Amino acid sequence: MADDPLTRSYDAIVVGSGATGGWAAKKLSEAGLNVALLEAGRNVSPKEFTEHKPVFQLKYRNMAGAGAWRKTRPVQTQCYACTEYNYDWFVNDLENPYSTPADKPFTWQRLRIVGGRTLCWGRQSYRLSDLDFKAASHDGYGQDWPISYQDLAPFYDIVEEYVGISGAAEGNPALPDGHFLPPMKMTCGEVHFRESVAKNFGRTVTIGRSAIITQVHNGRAACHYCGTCERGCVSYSYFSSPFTTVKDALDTGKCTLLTNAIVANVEMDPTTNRANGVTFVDGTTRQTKTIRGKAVILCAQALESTRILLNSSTGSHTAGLGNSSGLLGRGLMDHSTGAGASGELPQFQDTPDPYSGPHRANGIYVIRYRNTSKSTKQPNFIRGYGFQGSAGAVFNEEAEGFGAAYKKAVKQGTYRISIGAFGESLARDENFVSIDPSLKDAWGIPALHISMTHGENEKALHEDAAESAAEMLEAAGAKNIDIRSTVAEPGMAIHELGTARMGNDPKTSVTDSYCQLHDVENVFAMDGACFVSSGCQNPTLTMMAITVRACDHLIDRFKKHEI
Amino acid sequence: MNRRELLRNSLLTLGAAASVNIPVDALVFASGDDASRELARPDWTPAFLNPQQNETLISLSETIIPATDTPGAKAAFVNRFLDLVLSVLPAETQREFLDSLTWFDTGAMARYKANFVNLSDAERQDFLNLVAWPHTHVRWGETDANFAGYGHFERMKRWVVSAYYSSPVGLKDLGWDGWPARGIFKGCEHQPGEHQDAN
Repeated sequence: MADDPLTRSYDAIVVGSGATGGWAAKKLSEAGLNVALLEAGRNVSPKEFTEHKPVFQLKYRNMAGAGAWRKTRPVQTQCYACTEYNYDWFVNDLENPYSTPADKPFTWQRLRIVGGRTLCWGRQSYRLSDLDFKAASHDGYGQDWPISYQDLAPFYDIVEEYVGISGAAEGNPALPDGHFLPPMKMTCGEVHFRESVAKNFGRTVTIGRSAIITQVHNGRAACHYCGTCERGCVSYSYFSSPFTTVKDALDTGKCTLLTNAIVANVEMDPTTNRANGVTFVDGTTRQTKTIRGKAVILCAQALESTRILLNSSTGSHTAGLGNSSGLLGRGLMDHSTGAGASGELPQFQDTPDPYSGPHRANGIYVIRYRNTSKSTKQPNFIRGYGFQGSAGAVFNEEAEGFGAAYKKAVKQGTYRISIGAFGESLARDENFVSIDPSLKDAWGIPALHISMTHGENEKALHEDAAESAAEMLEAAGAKNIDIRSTVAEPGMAIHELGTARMGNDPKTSVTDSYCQLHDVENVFAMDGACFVSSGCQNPTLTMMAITVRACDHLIDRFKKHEI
Repeated sequence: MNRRELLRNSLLTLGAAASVNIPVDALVFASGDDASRELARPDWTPAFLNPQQNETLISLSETIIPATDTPGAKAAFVNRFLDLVLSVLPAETQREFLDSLTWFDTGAMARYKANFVNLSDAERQDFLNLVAWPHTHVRWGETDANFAGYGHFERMKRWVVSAYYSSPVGLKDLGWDGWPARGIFKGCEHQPGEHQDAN
């Protein structure tokens, strides 16, 4: 009879197998620790990858509204990446409910599967700088992080060298350079825009720093430019945890992967005030089970990790585990999106070739330029924003008319440029998650209530971003410019951060700088939950670096027999 | 073997080496699974449209996207795909679609005393030219008003275009060649400063 993994006791239980859970499992098992890696969803196979499957082979060609699966994923379909190709990687919303106030919608995109959101993430990978880590010192709002750029830089190095980030060094202090693989190329329109923006505004436009490799790297093949990464990659050219970190962890022989293990709460030993395991529901049998370990590491995604802690009230921990500050669940952030501009660059005449030429699943990035120094200080908002965008020839299905002339116009195409802002989302304690007292998921686990709005600062920032985007496009000679300035619903950036922020003072933070709960010395929140502020950069690279730093520290503590 | 074939073969090998057991509940498309073949069946019958609506849609879609040096909407089975999609969409969407489709028969009858399918090619061109542009009808003593037909045309055109350019025929028209690997993205190959039009 096979050894039952639940009869063993582990050094560490890692909850979640995505970007941060994969790293935790890899680091700890490679250090010789016995690791149990719990994933709420099923395993994933490369046989499910559909990046090369043409759309006409799908029954409904991913047309909006068509397909019975959409009824089970009304929230998830708001994400461009959730399609008729891969919808079952995303959660069934009916089984995984959450509530919001009626006037505060929040869209929560989730994957429950080995690899989590690394299977279809946007792959943009940027370092934060001390503009971000020490933001409160710059403008007086909120709290500084308990770590500085210098503390995290060596761990950014480790993550970048393993993951493989293609990009270009720019020497711009608002966006520190890293260890890059050769950058992807810009189109003519993008090179022109970069030159124009530098000349007219003194701002930096760079190629997107992407976790897509441009040369053979750590046994993975270079990108073959098919362009639809969110449906998987047969050559593993973009970073996803099942085929990298999780695989490494399993290859050590020290890591046990448990799938369909939906964690409900952390188990505490009241005599020692230490955790001794987690309780989970087996998604296959619906049985409740407990697994024992010396350390519990939550990498379940910011809101899920906090949900587990809030659902772990016991003994003296009456309002959730690690909540003596009353701040657990508070300070929810998600980058504000929505503002931007688009237009035509008629001076470029290329023929569109998205179906015949190489398709680059990356774009350009405009590095933050607001509130970066005294001279760029803004009167009506703090912090800043960056833009993602692209320029190139696209088919012109919007052409007017009909018949042979229309068909020709579609193919002839139009040369378009578009940029969209990602703005800092301030950590405000009135944006929070709590446990909904009357709502449970399909496994009987109390569900979250999410209450978040973007505030006045985000609105002012996006008005400026919209104007600024249009100015840059106009200076580059763009015509027929459309400006967008509305702030999208929170959750749309899919960059949920905060709710268990780190800090040195247990009265004003939930974890220490190594992601350990101030209140419990062997429970950790090693994902986006520990963010103090959001910056405006896509956060996954920083989450992974924080995890690696925290794991290094934890390994030291194991060596010293502190755990 | 050319470079693309080499690339493709190397991708296939990689995929095979990496395969693991497929989870029982995973969404896996069978190799060669191609829903567009169902639409091409000789015994195809509509699930949503009645025979007259189907004929009107074939005729209208072929006028919007005709066969030229490449096949048009009819050969791409635009009508068949739209019939399938509409059969599962909400009643409101179905009603709007049929309203617009029917408008073309009603309009053809009023102007040419014939259903849309029975118009001559010249009449169809003439009719669509009246409705295909966002013009307004302005006369002395009347306020500006968008001609109602333009809205119906735009709606039908959106449906036809989305069905055509997602079909095998339409994708081939846009250059799709079936190859998954496309070589390296070269981007701009001009020398620095060659974009002299930089403002």
